[in-house]
Amino acid sequence: MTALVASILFGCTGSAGVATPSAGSASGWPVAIVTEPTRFAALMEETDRDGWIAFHRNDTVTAWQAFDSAADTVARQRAAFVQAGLYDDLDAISDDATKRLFASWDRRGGPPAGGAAAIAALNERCHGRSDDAWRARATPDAPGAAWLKDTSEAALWPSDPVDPSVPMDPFAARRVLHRRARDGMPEDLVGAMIGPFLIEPANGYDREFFDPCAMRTLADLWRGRAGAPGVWQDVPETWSNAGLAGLLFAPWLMPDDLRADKPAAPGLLGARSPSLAALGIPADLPSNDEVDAARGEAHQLAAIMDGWQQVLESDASDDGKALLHDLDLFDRFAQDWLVVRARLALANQHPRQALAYAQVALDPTSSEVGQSNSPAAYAVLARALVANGRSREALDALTPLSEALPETVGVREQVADLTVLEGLDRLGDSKEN
Amino acid sequence: MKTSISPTSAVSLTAICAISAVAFGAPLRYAEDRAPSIVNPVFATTMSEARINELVFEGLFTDDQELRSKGALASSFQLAADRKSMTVDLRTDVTWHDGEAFTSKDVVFTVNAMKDAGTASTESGRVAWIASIAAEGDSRVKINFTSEQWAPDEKLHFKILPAHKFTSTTIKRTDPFRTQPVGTGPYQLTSFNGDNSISLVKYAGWYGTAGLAEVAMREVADTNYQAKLLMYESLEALVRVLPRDIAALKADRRVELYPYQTNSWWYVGFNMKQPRFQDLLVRQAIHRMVDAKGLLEPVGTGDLVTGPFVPSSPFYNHDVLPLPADPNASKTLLESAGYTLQGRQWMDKTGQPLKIRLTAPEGSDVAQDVVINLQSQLQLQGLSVEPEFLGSAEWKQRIWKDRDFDLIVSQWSFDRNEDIYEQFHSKGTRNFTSYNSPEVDGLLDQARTAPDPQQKRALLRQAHATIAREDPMVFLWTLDSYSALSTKVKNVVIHPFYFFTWANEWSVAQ
Repeated sequence: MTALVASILFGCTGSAGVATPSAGSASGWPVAIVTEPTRFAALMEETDRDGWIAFHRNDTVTAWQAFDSAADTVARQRAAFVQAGLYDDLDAISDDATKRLFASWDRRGGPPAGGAAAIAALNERCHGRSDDAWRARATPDAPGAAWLKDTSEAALWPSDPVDPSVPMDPFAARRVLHRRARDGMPEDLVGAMIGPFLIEPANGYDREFFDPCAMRTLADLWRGRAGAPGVWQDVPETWSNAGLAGLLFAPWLMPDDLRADKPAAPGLLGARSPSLAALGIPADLPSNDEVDAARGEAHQLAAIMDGWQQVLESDASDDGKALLHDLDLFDRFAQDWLVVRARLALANQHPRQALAYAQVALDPTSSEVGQSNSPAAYAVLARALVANGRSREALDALTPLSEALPETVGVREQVADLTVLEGLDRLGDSKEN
Repeated sequence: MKTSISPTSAVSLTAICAISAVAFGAPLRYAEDRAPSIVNPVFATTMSEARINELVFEGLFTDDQELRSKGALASSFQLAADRKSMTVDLRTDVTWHDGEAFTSKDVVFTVNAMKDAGTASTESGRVAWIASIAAEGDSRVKINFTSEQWAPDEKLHFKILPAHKFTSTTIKRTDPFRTQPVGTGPYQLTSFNGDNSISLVKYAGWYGTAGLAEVAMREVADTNYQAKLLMYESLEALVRVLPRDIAALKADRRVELYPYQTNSWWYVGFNMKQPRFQDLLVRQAIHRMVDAKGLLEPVGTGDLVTGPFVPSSPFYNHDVLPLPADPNASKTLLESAGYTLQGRQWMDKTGQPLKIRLTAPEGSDVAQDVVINLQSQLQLQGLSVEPEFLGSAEWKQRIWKDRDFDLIVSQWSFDRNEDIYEQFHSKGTRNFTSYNSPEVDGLLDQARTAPDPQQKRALLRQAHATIAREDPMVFLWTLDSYSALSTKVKNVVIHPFYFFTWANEWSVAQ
C-alpha cells in the first residue's frame, strides 16, 4: 500500500506531495533520531562520541581508531566497512586505468622497454588474472623480471625476508610491504604509496609507475578489519540487532535493509534497501543502462526526504530539530545511498546509470572532501567516469581526493597517464570564455 | 469494472507518467552570457560559438558518449600501411540544410579553406597535419599526411562547410554565411534575431533522429537573471552556472546540475608587442601588484592557478608556486626597469605616467567584477588604469586581429587534451599576447609529437614552469563549473567541452 501512496503523493512530478513520517524507527534512522533524540543521546553516551563525530565528517580512519572499546565494536566494524568500500572503488579505478593504459600502449606499438611489462603483469596477478602474456614480454634484465618468474601465491604476498641485509628485487621488496599491510600494519605501504613505485630514466625525463596493487591490498585489509573475527558478510546481520549503532549515518534506513541480501562487496551494502522499495524506489536497478531512470530515483528520494524534513520541522522537539539541522541527516543519507546505488550500477555493468547516481550524489556547493562530500562520493564518481571513458573528468574528482588522502595520488597519476595516452592522436580545441 | 493497483505497480505508474509526459515537440531554450557573433566554424573563437556549431554542423568524425572517435559524415576509413595517408568513405544519405547533397567536394573545400592563408581561419592549426586532400568520386576522399599518423580519425573532428555556398577557398569572416549558416547537423538555423537570440529547428532531412523540435539560444547578459529564468521555467538550460547560484539551483527540485568541466582558466594578459611589456621586470612588477585571491572572492569559488593548466590537469606543474601580491617586490622591480615613483604615480623613462588600458569582454559579470577590482588594486599601487569593455565584433577586431590592447582580462577554455600550442607557441593562431619563447616553442613542438604520455606530461609541466617564469600572463584561477537543466529535459548527457554533441538524443517533457 505504501508504494501506491508514495506514487499518488509524489505523482508524476516527483515533488508535489509530502510523505508523512511514521512513528519512531519505522521511517528509518534519520526520522528516528529526530523524533526520539534521547536514543541518539544514549548512543553517544554508550559509545565513543569522538568516533561518531569523525564518522559524521567522513573521516572513517579516525573514527575506526577512536572506536576502540568493546562497546564500540559495531561502530568500529562499520567504519572499516566504509573504508573497505572506498578502497574497492579506488582499486577498480586503478585496475581499469592500468589495463586500458597498457592496452592502448599496445595498439601504438607496445609499451616502453624496462619495467613496464612487469607492472602490467603485476596488475594482472594481484587482481587474480593470468599474467602470462605480460610476463613473457618482460625482458630478463628488466626490474621485476626475476620476481615475475615465481608465480606462486607466496611470491605475490611474501613475508619479510629471513635476512634483511640481502638486497631484494624492488618488486619483491614492495610485496613485503603488501604482506605487512595485509597483516594489519599498513603504515609503510601507505607511506610508500605517496610516491612512484618504479622510476626509470628515459629520454630527458623520468618515467614513473605507481603501484597497481596498493589499493587492492588496502581494500582487503579493511575488509578484514570489518569482519574480524568472522567473515565480513556475516557482520551486517549482527548490526541489524544492534539498534541505532548499526544504522546511524548509514546508506540503509532499517534493520531489515541489512538482512535483505549479502552483497558481493562491502560497498554495496544498502544499495537494494527494501524499505526504499516500499516508498517507490525499487530494489532492482532499471533494466536498461539509461540515465533518466537513475535520475528519476534520485528525484523520488529527494522528494521523500523533503517531505519528511517538512513534517519534522513542524512536529519535532527542539532537540530533534537541532539534530535535524546540525547533522544534515537527510542529505547525508541521500548521498550515502546514491553512492552505493552507483556501485550497484557499476557491478551490473550500467556505467551510465552509475554516472548519473554519482553526479547527483556529489554536493556541488563544496569542492573538497569533508562533511558535505565523502571520499567515497568522489571515488565512485571518478570510477563511474573512468568506466564511461571520461578519464580526464575523473581527474577532477580524484584531485580533491588526493589532497585529502595522499595515498590516492597514485590512482590519480595512473588515470592521468591514461587520459594523456588516449589523447595523443588528438589536436586539442580551445575557445575563449 | 473495478480496477485495482497493487503496490508493485507504483513503479510502472511512474514509468507511464514519464513516458506520457515527454513531448518530442517541446523546445529547448538555453542561455548564453554572450550570443555568438558568427556561426561559421572556421572562425569560431568562443565557447558560445562552439556550442551552436555543434548543433548546426558535423565533422567527418565525432565523439561517442565514451569519447571515442566514431563516424559522423564518414562511414568508414582505411589507413595506409605506411600510416602516411588514408581514404575516407562518406555517408551518401546526407544533405545540407538547403537540400543540396553532401559530397567529397565539401570535405576537400573545407580543408583547403582552412589551410588558405587568405581565410585566416582561427582553426587552421587543426588541418596543419594534412599535406593534401583530393576527392575520389563523390563519396570518398584521400588525405595525405605530413607525417606518420596512428589514428588520424581522431584529428578529423573539425566541422565541414558546404562548398556550394562559397565562391572560393578564401573565406571572409564577414561573408553572409556568418548569420545564414547551412550545415548538415540535426538542427538548422532559422533566424538570427535582432535581440541577439538565435532560433533553430530540427532539420527534417537529417539522417538520424533528433528529439528536440526546436532549440532557442537567448542572450542573457545579466547572469544574475539567468538562474531566475531557469527557476521560473522561462529557460530549460543554463550552460554555465555562476558559483554563487549553485546552492539555490541545487535546492530547486525542478533543476538538475551537471558538471561541465571545460578546463577553463582566467588570466590577465600582457600585449608583448608593446616594448614596455617586453621587459620581464615590468610584467613581473605588475604581476606582484595583483592579489588574485582578493579578486576571486567576490566572483565565487575556484582554485588559483600558476600556469596555463587547471590543477587537476595531467600537465599542471605543482612545483610552481603562486606569487602572492607584494607591493615592495613590485616597487623594486619597477625601479629596476627604470620607472620612478612620483608621489602616488609611476612614471616611465620619458617622464610620462604609466598608463594602462585594461580590456575585457562586454557582457560578462565575472570579467566586469575582476576588471573593477583589479583597477582598484593597480591604481592603489601607482598605475593609471583605464578599463574598457568590448563587444564581440570589436573584441575580435582589436584583440585577435589588430592586437590593439595593453592588458586583457579573459578566460580560455580547453577540451580534455588541454593543448596550449595555439596560445603560447610563437606560431599559434590564438597567441594574441604575441608571446615568443624559443624554449616554450621547442617544448610545445616536442609535446605534439611525443609518443609516450609521460614524456608529454614532462614536457608540458616544463612548459608550465617556463611560462610562469616568463610571465606573459598573470594566471588567475579556474572556477567550479556546472550547467543546469530543467528536469523536464530528458536523456541528458553533456559533452565535457562542446556541450551539445549528443543533444539530438535529448527531449523535453511538457
